[in-house]
Amino acid sequence: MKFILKTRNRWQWITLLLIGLISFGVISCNNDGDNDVSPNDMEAASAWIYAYRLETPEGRVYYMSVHEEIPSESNVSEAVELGLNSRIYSYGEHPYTWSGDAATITKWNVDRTTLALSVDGIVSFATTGISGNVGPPVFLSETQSFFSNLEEGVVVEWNPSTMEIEKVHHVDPLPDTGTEIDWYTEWFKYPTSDGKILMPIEFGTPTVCCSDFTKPGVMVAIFDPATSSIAYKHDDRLYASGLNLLTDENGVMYLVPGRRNSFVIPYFDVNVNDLPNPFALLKVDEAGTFDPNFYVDLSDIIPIAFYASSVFVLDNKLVLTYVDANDYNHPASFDQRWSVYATGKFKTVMIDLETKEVTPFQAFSEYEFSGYANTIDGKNYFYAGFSDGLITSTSSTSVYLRQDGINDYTVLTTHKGGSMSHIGKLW
Amino acid sequence: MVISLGVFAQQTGSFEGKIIDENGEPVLGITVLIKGYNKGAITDSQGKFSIPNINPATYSIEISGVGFENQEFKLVVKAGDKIRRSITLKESTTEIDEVIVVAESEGQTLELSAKSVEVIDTREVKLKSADLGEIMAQTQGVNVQRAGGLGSNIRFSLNGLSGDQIRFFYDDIPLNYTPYAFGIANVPVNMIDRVEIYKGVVPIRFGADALGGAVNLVSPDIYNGLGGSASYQVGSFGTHRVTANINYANDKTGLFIVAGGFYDHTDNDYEVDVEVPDERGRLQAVTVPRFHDGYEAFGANLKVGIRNKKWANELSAEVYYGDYKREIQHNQVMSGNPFGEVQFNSFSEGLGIRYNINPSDKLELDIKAGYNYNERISIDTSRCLYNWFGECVRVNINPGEFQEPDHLMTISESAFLRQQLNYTLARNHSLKLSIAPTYALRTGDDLLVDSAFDPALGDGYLFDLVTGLEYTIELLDKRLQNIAFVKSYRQSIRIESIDPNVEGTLVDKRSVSNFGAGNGLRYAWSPRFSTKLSYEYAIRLPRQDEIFGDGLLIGENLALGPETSHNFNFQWNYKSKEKTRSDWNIQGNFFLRQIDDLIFLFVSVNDAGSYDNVWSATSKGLEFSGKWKDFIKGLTISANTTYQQYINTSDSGPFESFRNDRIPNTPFFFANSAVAYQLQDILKKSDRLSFFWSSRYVHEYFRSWESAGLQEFKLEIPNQMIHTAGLTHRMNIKKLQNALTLEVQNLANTKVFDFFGVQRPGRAFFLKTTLQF
Repeated sequence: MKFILKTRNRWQWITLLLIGLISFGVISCNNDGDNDVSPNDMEAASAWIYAYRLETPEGRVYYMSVHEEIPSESNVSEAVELGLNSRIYSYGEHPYTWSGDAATITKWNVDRTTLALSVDGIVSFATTGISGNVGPPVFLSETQSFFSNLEEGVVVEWNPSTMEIEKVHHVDPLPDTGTEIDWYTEWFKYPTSDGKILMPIEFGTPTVCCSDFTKPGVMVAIFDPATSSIAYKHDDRLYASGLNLLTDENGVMYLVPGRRNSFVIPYFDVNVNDLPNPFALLKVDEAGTFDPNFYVDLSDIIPIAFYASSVFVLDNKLVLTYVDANDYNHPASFDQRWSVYATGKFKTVMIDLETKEVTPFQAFSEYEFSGYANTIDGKNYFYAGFSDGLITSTSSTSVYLRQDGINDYTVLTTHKGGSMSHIGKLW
Repeated sequence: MVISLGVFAQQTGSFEGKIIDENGEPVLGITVLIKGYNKGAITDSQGKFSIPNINPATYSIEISGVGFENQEFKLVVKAGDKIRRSITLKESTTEIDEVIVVAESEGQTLELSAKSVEVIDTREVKLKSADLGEIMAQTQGVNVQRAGGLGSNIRFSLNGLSGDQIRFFYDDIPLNYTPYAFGIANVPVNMIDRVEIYKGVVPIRFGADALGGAVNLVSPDIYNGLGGSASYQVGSFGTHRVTANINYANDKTGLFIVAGGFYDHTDNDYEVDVEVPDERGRLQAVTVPRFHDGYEAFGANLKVGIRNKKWANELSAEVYYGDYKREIQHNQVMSGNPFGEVQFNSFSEGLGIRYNINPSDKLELDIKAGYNYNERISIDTSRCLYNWFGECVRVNINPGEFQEPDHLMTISESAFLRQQLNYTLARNHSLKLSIAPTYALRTGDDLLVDSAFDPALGDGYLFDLVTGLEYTIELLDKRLQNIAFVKSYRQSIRIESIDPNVEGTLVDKRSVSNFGAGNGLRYAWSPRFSTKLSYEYAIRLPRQDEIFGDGLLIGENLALGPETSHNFNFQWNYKSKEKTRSDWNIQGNFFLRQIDDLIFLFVSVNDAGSYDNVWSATSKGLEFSGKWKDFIKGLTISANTTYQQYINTSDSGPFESFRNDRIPNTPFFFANSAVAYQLQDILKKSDRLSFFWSSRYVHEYFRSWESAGLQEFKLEIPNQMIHTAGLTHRMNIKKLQNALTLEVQNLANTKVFDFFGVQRPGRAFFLKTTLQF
């Protein structure tokens, strides 16, 4: 070293000095969004992505940011602005964002030191029949993912590594219901151990009230990429399921009622004896087979006027939110059916699926709405907040909660100005 | 400058008109004198003059002006007469003295009143190819954001406020009840004489709930004899615009007839830069022409009336019809697949009557009434998925390029009455009472629903009653004018629908009353310098759909209140000395809007929601404008600029976190400049060649909250600078005035985005010929 120092001429010293200055400058300037950087430029030990919406007079704008630890409050000035009609997903070490308007998925890179986000690639689905408000893709690996729109009979296989479409699978579309209904779609997709994809289908009620209308029952789809085929399976014990499956700590999957089920009996001319139960709970396995031995009639346990959402199943206990039939009558007008969100008194309870015992679920009592967000490192995460959809509301605060026990929750972060959109851990 | 010495002891008449030279050009600065009486007027820049309050008698009228031979003729004025004449002057052979008399036009007179108003004189701009949206955008305080070319959606904002907060009128009647129901930017400029832009403080005569101001388009006056005009414009993107107008008036019989029509067509096939995916979803940047953005509109009106009678200053009836078809090329943000078949059609037809009389010297009664039928149809039923090359690349199972299929017809029938009673309390003191009821029925038909139970078939009944009382006083030899007014708003809404689940008819109804008030004070500190201070507590009543929801996830909110605003303006105007060879003036305005209870659609995580009064904002800013004109050299230079802070002031609700942020997607700094130079006697004597150049700058602005998001990822509308240049040759062939204009818009072919990032037309060439007789 001594020798080297002696033999360096002044130009070498100037060069080194310049490099040092430039390096300092680069580091100094490149500090956007890196408040969580570990000291000494070491790689971040962990990287959490969380995303949320902000209300603006022009509509909802979506934002996301990556942090070594989720901050206790959202700092929107450090987030990436994604625009209107976006959705945020994550898989592996990468966030992915969907633009419903452009029908594109953008893959993002996260700098392992600064946690700064940069665009890695974009793949467009614009000509495939997938656009707008569709469910998230399912990732099977770093090189294989599936995106779908079963109303159009399309499942698109794409490669998240190259950000290219590999194959467009043309499959049987969702079966014709025989009438125009207000909602009919798959949303969440679940990979199965044999390389297939399981998708619960939610469908609603006819757009126009109030003809004779009886749907055959709950439906799931099983897509097999190997054969480009899809199978739809029905069960007549539940009227229709919600968008997602509830999975307990043992991996058992439950089909829960969709919220539109609540409108069938009050508004349509149906023979109740022929009608699948709007408020039943079923089990389904990854082959799409409904467990014939499992059936829970929730309306036998609690008086349900409106089934709002299922929060989770844990330890053979179901937590759900509903409006009590003793407190609420559906308005006479079909047009006013959704006024339940403005005037209904929502309750969250826990039902022991074995004993059928009902206990008030108090952990989310301070919130006006709540729901399942993700499972990370074996723990469930939930969003909750004060509804910004109620006339009386003056707040719009949302939180993410981590479930540490069935009645034990930790508030991870708070966000004002809109609702949560995604939480995930990249590493 | 109009000299008015009214005598109120007996019923009087009036004499007004237009003075033109032998080439048919209006002549400014001509004196019209009632000989032997100290009474007369001087023509304005449009050659117009008006002498009110003339006692019944026979007079000798003398017309004189520099460079013209004097004229003299007899004029018989009877009580209640409103005499109109078009007078042609011969040029004098004697040497012209370079003295120009500057007079105020009707619009300038309005601007110099206590009203907070900007007036755009369309006499020059109607020779050019710019549409009304572009013309209005050149005014301080006004911003017009557009989603494309001719016929596209616009957002007109005035001092920051926009949408339903600004109301539009044609001859004081809501624009929806005219042949031009398809948007103010698309009204043919050649069909109007001037544009009045009322900033924040709106006169009672409009009978409207205008939170942020109003725009009134004024049709041309009609003079004795046969007159008319026609124009044809052709240019880039398959654009053709035709207007024709003919009028006849006979002052002896009082009969007058006006007939007009227009036809617009454009393909709007200008090139845009887009990204097109290949079969593997890889995006390629391409530049392609728009292929489904056409616009076609036509309309006609016929007005017949009698005027200048003892029993009526005017009694007239008008029928009209307007129709348009518009293709929709893409979604709101011009991303994803374009649309190849989405279309929006509409037509509007109706009739109107007007009766104006002076029952006594001190009273004037003006009644306007009308009926309008309007039908709109949106069509989105295609199963084709188009790419940007106009090819159907996929046939979807489900129809609807906007995601959901749509074939909806909306019908509205409206009847309205505008009554105004003007009472002169004493000299320089007057009262106005305005009563403006409007009754509207709105219904529709979802053409995709075969069932008898169609939610769109519900009937909505709206009754609005806006009453206003205004007191005007002029003091100190008219140097001070004050206008004070109060307004009352009564709104009743009733929705009737059929629900098979409910016996009989389902009825929702609501009635509310609100009040507003304001004042305008103008003081002329000297003949050259004046100031105005104006204020209004203004409101906007909620729309029907905001109160009752859409029958789906948007629920009703019967407690929904009006949007309210305290609107202040302080304006000053300083102008050059009169009787000089050049004319200049400079104006400034400070404005403040304190807006509260703004309505916002709350949508929860459950997708259910309702409209509510949840946020507030303040818009304050400065506007400056200046104009200099050399009458001898023919050079005109003008410029204006606006800087506004339209700031969110919400202290609760979803916008609380962004208190003191600018309201997104709203320009806050913009400026315009224009230069015109005119040469004379180029090809023949008295022809004129004008060169004009105008520029517009809009500073960059964000599409979301400015404090949210990393700067490098912020979605913004970039700085924009657009230049337009052209030349106009005006030549008269006998009494036919002919103008030919060649114009290049967006001269530098700048990429222009101003509405959610949608690209607007690049460089475009237009040729326009205008005839007038």
